[in-house]
Amino acid sequence: MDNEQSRLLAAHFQCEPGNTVLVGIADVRVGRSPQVLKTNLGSCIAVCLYCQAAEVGGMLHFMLASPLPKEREGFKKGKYAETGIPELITVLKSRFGVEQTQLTAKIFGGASLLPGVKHNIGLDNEAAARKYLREYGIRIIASKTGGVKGYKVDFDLGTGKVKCQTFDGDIMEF
Amino acid sequence: MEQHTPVNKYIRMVSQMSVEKASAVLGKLLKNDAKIELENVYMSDMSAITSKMNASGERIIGAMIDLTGDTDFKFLLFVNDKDSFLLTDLMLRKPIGTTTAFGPYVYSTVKEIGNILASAIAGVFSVDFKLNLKPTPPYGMHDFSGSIFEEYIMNSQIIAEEIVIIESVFNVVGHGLRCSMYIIPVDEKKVLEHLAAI
Repeated sequence: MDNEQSRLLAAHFQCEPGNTVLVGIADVRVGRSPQVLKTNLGSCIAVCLYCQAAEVGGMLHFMLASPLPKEREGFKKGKYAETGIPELITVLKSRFGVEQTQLTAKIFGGASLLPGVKHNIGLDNEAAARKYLREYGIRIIASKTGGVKGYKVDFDLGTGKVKCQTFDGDIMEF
Repeated sequence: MEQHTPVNKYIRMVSQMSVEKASAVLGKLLKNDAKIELENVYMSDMSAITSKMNASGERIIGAMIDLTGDTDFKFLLFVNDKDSFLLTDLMLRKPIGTTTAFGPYVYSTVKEIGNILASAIAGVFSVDFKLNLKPTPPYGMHDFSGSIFEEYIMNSQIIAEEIVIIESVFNVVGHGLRCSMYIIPVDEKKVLEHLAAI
């Protein structure tokens, strides 16, 4: 294992007790059964990648589609779909030896929580997630996106199932 | 995991004075023994602070306000659903227990208190630190704590990953009511430059 792989591992394995891993903005987290990756979303998107055969997966919680022109280096890759999706794929490969052809994706979030804001970042984010997953040849098998309320997402790495609840909505399983 | 870094002493001083002013205003507003206390001023990684908020999973009502002018700050006040009913009764001078469900009065109460506190803080910046700021009308939000906090962080800082967070809580004595108040300077360096110049 080289230094870069060691760095990625150290950065991505900060687990809470009880197998729950909390995923914040710009985080890229991976794990395996029986861990559960958990996050809340507004206009951000959670990209959940899973390998059924190995029962391993990961979650990216990105906030915007692409880095701003003045921010082309030295930022957290997980902030953006353009850089976060390849980062998640790389970490899954380096930690578990999973090839991207073995992965499927589920995406959640992209809501518009702030009333009266003209530019809908959530929509842009959803489009970016779809675009970059397509570029890497990863099929999206489930999604719940948009709306005006937040999302609570629990990604079970034992089954690959995602429990998703919108505010004031029922818990749905994907 | 939380990774907090101490912040500049001038930022801490400004924070303390702002919170003291807001506390005095709140006490008068609620005509009660209400007190806001500065809980912490720290620098945090955006992932760490939002992970922390995701852990609670509470349903909250929040008021988000921009303080704009010589430099920009982002203000957030929030309270959980149950405590928002109590806050509404106190604000409207109704017997405790009158408000039992979420509605326009609760929404307006939280937005109004947010507006008043943000204005008080803008006043401190203006009078004591010669930083002219004006509060925008509040955005009211009723959602998961993690979702609201995510929007707050996104709106505060999309370039820097280390964020200065001024975190306060207020308690109304005798009622067990607890609200949280956050202020984030959008450009910490600009604030420090200004403070150094006065």
